[in-house]
Amino acid sequence: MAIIEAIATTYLEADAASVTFDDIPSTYEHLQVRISARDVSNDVFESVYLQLGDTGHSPVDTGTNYSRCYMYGTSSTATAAAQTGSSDIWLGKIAAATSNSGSYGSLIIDILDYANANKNTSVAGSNSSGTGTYVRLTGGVWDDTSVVNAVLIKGNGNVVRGTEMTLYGIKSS
Amino acid sequence: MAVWNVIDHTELSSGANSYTKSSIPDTYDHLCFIASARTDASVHTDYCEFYLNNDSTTTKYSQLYISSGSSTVGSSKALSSSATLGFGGEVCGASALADTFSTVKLWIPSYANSTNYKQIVGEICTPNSDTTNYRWNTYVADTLFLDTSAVDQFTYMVYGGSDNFVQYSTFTLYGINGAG
Repeated sequence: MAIIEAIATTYLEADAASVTFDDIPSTYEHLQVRISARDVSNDVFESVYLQLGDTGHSPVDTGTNYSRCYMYGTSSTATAAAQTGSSDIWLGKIAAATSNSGSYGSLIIDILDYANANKNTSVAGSNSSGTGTYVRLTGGVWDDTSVVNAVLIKGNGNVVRGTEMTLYGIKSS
Repeated sequence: MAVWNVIDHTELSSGANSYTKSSIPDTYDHLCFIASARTDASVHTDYCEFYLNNDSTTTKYSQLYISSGSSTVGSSKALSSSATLGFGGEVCGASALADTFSTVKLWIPSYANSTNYKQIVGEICTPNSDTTNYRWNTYVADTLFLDTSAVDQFTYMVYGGSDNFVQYSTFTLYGINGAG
């Protein structure tokens, strides 16, 4: 029996505003999303965000129910911050239109105990922009104890054709 | 042969100061510890530590981390070069947003090797709805265990003896295989 299973992979054949993994089974302990993505915006890199959903939100909660904290480094600085009352969890930056054409940002996002209705859902995300100029660690929480059944990833602009995201389920028995 | 294997999974039904897995088999290449943890201490963030092979008294641990809890990143901060425990980050305490648990991930590569010192690398994130400095944090943490013995016991604990991890905290220890 495999402990890690691929639940779904999305490979974009055309630019898209977001990627949603819906109807996620509650049979795993943790979820993980692995992302290779690029944004169409006219910048070197652009932000990428996460929202979560349950049966009461279709497909995800867009309310101001998220808090997030992070530290990041660029080629010249290192800094950190925290925000609350946000409508998403800001995960970091991905390469955008004015970066090298073959550059894609990468993210690994852990979503722990997503099916445990006794706790809010916390996430941790590691990010590299793919431009050689931005690296980041993010923590976030959705202030809702509902069982998560949907994960949405969105760019600041559209994410481009060739972007790939895979949702994994990680078991604990 | 499965790559990832569950060695142990524990969800607390009541408070406990620590999580321990003993008699860890030496049959995997690496260990990965994933926890969703919160403590009962009346603080926003609460220090955690870990130790290996039931060794929490000798100064075999060298700790290093970068962290945030304010706008200033603690760049390459040397915490201790002669600690008696490994560094486990800071997790949500009782004053943090209700029902919110930190994410903890520690890797112990080549844990069964009996020639090399053991390196433990981790990421710990403690989000909170209170954005006041040091009421939230993120850590990238490294501990060098100055001992060549194979690791057969792992303990993750709240620093200080009186605080406990709360009910619903979960701890999972995975064994990771390579090829062949």
